Amino acid sequence: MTRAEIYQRITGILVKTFELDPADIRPESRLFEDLDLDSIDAVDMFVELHEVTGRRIDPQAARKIRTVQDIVTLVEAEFASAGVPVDG
Amino acid sequence: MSAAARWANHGPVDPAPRIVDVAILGGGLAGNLLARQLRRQLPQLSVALFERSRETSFKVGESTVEIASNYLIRRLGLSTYLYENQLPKNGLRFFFDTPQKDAALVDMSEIGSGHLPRFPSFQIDRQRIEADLMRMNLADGVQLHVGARAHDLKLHEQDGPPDAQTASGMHEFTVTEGDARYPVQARWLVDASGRASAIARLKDLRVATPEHGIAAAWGRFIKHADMDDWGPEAWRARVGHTARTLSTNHFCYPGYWIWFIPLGRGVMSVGWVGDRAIFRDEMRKPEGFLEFLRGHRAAWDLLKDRAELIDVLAYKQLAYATKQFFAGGDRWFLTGEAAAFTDPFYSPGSDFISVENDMITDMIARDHAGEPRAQIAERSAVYDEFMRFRFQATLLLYRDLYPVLGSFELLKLKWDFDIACYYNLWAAPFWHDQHLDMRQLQHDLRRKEFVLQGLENFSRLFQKLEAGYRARGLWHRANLGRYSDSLATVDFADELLAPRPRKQVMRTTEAIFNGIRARALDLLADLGEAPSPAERSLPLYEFMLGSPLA
Repeated sequence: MTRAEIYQRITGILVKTFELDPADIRPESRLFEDLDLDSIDAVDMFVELHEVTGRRIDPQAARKIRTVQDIVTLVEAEFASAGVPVDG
Repeated sequence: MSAAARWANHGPVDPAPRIVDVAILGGGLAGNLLARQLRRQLPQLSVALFERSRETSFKVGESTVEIASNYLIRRLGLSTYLYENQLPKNGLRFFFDTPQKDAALVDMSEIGSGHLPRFPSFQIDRQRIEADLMRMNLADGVQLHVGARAHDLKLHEQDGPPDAQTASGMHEFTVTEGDARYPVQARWLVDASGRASAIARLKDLRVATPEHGIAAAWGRFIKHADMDDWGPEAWRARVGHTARTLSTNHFCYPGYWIWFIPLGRGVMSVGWVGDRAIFRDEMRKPEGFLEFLRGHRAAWDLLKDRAELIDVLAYKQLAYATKQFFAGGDRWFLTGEAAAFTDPFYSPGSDFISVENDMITDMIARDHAGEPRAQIAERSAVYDEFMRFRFQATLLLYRDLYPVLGSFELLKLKWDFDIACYYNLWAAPFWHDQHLDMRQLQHDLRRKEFVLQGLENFSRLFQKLEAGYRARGLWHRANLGRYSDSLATVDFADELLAPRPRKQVMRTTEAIFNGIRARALDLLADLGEAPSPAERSLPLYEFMLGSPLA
């Protein structure tokens, strides 16, 4: 899977799960401030990410998430830990 | 003669083969409630119930909670019956003792309500209600076979190997009733026969739960003292003169508890539940059971003067799981203790029966209405996964937590957490039939691992507090003289009367989790322990990931 594909997948999840406008989503978009998600939405997001990676979410990494790019980085790291190659 | 014996066949039994739509094995609470539900919801189907015993017997499991009561009232129309023939229950109530077990009842700290709860529940005399239900079911057209032993069961499984299929294309078994023997064929088969479950044995479904090794012994007393005509006026006024007797009263100790449950007509069920390691075989006998109770002043005070023990029973291992609850596609189902059992502390047994019977009735109704088999099988798989999830979540309330039980401060925290979660996550969804909503269930099941992790995290937090309290000798410090309202954390009860948006449920969950954790942090501060994470409020997802809560 490529980084671009991961980004596309995350964007797709955000649009579908939270009914966001794709045009509003950029890598630097802050989840709470810019995209108006809240702590409850975050649970749904982690459920989705769990299904994407098939792995338990690392609590330390989860705490650091602020932006869309942070999610992409987390998913890349999870794939890397699982031995799934991620290409540029 | 007991009530049920009147329904047994006393004349010659017709040995002709029987063909029925639904056969129910077992005429206890689960089987009789299901028979009633089927007659009410699907009167066009014939229902036959086979009960091995000729008489109903003394059984444990008298206390219903808010899901089961809702099922009995709303689904089965038993409200008037229950108020006229059984006892309204005054919630759960907990008392705490000294290390020497010598506190007087009126000195014990107490968790309980000062009035009957707004969402009703009942104390039921199992022997009486089962006989009454048999009578009602017979009048409603259920083919009742009492003193009828079902054996040589052969399930018909459509996709199974040839030896898993019957020539008739229906489930088949033989019944021995009196001197007669006759074959039975049934389109749908429900096993409600309790721990002896024929289907569980045939399909090798039973799963041991060594991680929760809990035993029990219990008996019925008459001529016990009246808790509500007891002690000083101030003690009775503390709970607004509400009827403490009508509660499921728990006397709580480290590793075990003793229940007092009124059965009406002057009978009191008294039981012990605890770690298998402290169970003694002598407790199976009246002398041993009485000797054990004698070592607990408050409980014994209620019995010692005049009370007579009528009978005593025991189980050395209460909990067990099942690999499967339902096979909707193949038209067989388990309900009640034929499937699984967790722990009686919060009386969840009849809650499980309620959810299971609703799901079974729903699957039979859909099947009967012609819904394709593949769809029934898919629904059955979702219902089955939900029940196994429900079982796991319930077991997490108790597993490794028996050491917490006897400390007022620790159980108060745990109770407040458990009762709030119960109303928010389990009871209210049942009241609004969300347990039969496939979309809702699939949504819940996607979050299953997160919910279980959240419950596990709280379990660890309670265990950490318990270890700290024990190490510092604080375990019993608040066990005398305190009182706590048992429903103080259910301040969202008004919201539960109508279905709530999912987000509202989760916000309530977040508020419950943060409220309990904040109180836990205060207790940890008392122990001189600095929590990590240190924030007093966390976003909901942090409770549901794999890191400690403090």
